[in-house]
Amino acid sequence: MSEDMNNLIPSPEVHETDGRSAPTVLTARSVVYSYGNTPALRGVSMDLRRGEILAVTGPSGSGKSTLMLCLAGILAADAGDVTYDGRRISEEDEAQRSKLRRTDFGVLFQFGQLVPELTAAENVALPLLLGGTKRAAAITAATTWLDRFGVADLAGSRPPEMSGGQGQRVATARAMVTEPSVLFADEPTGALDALSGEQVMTQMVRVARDAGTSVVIITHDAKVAAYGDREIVVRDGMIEASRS
Amino acid sequence: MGLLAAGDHHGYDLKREHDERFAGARPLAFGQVYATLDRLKKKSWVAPVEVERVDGPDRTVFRLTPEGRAELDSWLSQIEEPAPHVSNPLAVKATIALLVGDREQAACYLSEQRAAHLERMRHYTRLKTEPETSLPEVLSADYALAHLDADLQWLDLALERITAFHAAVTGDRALSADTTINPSSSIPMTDNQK
Amino acid sequence: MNAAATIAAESDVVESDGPGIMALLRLAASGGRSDRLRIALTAVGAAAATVILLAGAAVAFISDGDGPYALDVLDQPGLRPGVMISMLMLCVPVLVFVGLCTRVGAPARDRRLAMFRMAGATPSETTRIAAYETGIAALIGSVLGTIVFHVGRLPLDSTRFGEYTEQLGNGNTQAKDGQVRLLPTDVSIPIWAVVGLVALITIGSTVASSLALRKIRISPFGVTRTAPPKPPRRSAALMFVVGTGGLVALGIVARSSEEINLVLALVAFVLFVVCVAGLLTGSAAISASVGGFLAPRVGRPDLLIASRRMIAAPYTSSKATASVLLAVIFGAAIQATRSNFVLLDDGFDSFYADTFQLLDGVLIVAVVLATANLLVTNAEAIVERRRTLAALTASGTPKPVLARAVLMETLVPLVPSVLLAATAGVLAARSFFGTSVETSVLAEGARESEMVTFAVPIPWERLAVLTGGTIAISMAITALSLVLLGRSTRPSELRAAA
Repeated sequence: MSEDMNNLIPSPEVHETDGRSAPTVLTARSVVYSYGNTPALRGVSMDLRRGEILAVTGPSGSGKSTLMLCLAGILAADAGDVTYDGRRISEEDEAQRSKLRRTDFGVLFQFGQLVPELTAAENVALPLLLGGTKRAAAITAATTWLDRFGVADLAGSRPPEMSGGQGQRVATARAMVTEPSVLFADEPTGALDALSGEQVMTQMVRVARDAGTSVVIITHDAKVAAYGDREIVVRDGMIEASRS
Repeated sequence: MGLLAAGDHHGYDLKREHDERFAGARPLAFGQVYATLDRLKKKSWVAPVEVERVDGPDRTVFRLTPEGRAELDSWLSQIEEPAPHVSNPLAVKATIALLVGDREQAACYLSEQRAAHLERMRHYTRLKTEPETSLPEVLSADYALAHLDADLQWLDLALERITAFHAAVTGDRALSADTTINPSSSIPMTDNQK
Repeated sequence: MNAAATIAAESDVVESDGPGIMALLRLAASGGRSDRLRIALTAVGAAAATVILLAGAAVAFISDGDGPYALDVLDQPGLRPGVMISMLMLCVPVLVFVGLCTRVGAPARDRRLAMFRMAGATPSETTRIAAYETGIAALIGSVLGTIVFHVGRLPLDSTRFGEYTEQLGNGNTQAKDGQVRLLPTDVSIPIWAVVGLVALITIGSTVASSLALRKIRISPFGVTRTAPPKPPRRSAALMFVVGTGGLVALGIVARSSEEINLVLALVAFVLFVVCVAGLLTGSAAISASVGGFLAPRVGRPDLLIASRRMIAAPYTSSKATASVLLAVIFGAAIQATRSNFVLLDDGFDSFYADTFQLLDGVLIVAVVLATANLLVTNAEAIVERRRTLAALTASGTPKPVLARAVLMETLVPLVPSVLLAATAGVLAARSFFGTSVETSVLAEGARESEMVTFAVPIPWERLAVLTGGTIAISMAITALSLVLLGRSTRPSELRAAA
């Protein structure tokens, strides 16, 4: 039966990874991180190329989320380097990394990251407002981004009034509003049903490709990892295999 | 018969309809269509209705009979027997590799197999997210993805079972339940690429 | 999970109508650090309340053999009820503090209790657990407080040489010199009074905690709060006006009768409460209005977050604000009353000034305790929102912005309420004690003293210190709760349950 089904669609051609010759935008070298006495990353090295969509997979507890937190500068690595744009962000202090996260990186989590009291437009505009943009300009930009994700009609609604999928799309808009170089997504569809998840991932990938943003997706679900160009498997705090 | 349920057709139209609706399937041959119609006529599930005469040979239009309709309904109401055929070549190879091969070999096979599966899944994912893809194609892609994903999950689970089994049998302390078959420590490839 | 195992184990052992109280209590206290903190805070609050009430009791039980005292307010029997009422009122913020303490670490405990609900406990049982826990903690605290009180008296029991007023048999008074005590540390309080007080505190704390939990429904799906109602502006204003007006009217009535009557005092207390209720609802209404005005207009992120929070949760700090406002009303009344009495001092007799100095001291304690409630409320609010706060930090919001938002959210509604409360206190006091005072003055060089009428000044300076000081302390306390902000914005909080 599966044979017949496979014949319904023509076989895939060999697909060239577009980013193969592209420059590297983010690098990790022998990164080590421990939570207290528990080691989470035990010497991880990898590259992220410009414009590529990278899936980081592995069993739960493998350290893949920690890797993302270190790459995004949310955590400072205990040892090793994380380099972005020529800067060793693992050595910088929290204030510098915080600014970097606002301007150059976008972060998307599984749930709970929108401010429930602010409207969707205000949530999306927040990174711009933090950068000093005036309210009117920020809200206009925010509405444009909401439109790109098909949720412009929710601009005046509040997160508790939205469905999970809508909330994630608003959150993705917020992550993209400062036109970051890298978008980090940690289990973005984990709390969503299959169709909402597909919608979120499709739009995320399309918008990111249009904007030239590199994406790092942390997931344990191979179907989500299949949205990427390349996969890195993390197991027990180390990279297991990295193949295109 | 499903196609006829929508309306009367003659043979040529039936072939055309089938090819359009099941775009990814093998196109039907005319001989196949007429032979099938003949068999159905013998069972009284379809009946010829009229004969059109349009610039050429007679074209018989067929219609679904009430008995045929009943047979169609009955077929639609029965489930397909879920058949997990364990003779699937993937399952066989993986099992053998994990049980027989040494750790390096098994790990290598597993990671290559995963890469191949994932590449196939990427193809189907790209396809189903394109706006031009028709609904039947999307459904087929979903089906393929679900099965490929199931394969991968089975591979992961098999790996963990084998690892635990080895650990229990050999009493090897180093092989605790936490560590798994890992080809080496940090991969040198990315360093060399620099 | 431990809790589930405990439920299962206990359910097997005990009778069919559910696990026993001990199991419930063990479940409630099985949390860890925040549970211990909560129980400790409750005990401390109960101890403080006990000490205060025992001090009042000491005054109440001054008998003939005790004294004499430097303060006439202690020496003269007619004036003592005033002191006792003050002590009683001082207890209120402390009891509110105890009630609020039940909220520390409450979400985690409530989740455990919610699981317990799924195992079949009834809603009343789950609320009872919290009440029992508070009761036991309060009992322990109260006993400790009694011990502290009696032990603490000893070093304070000193006499010095000074002036005092003695009651003569014929109703006259005479100034005398001798060894006087400052505080009634020589009074022996009868055992039944001590026991009664301990019981009162314990019961009072339990009631306070039940009230604090009243708005929270513990359901099997976790804890849901009944949706906060929109603060009604008109009834708020109405209550405030009725409360203040009532106090003013009562004051006029009281002045026409010669003595301070206990019944009148209690009615005054009730009117205080009405007034404060009006202030509270009013401050929530002010909060929502200010928020509603600012939110669609501001571009500053901290102000935006704060104003949206004010709209969404106008009542959050209102329980803590209640005790602050009570302290401020009372304080303002004291200051206004002081102006009255100071005029009666002849210049070399600082009797009233001394009394009010004592009251000032008591007032400072009350304000500090009241603002301590703010700390609890703020800490709770921050901990509840930690997932949102952690995500904000992770996406690059600087901590100072979040800190400012928290500060603004607490203080914007507080300032107008404090000012209104002070006004109410001053008005009430002036109506109770009059706006002019007649006293006999012996002018220099004159042979006889004559009656002169003075207008009682409004003590602007002292009121400014009171209101400004309260606001400043509130700011400091709120800033203190920001310490928790650092802990709450750690990346590990991103996965915290709601």
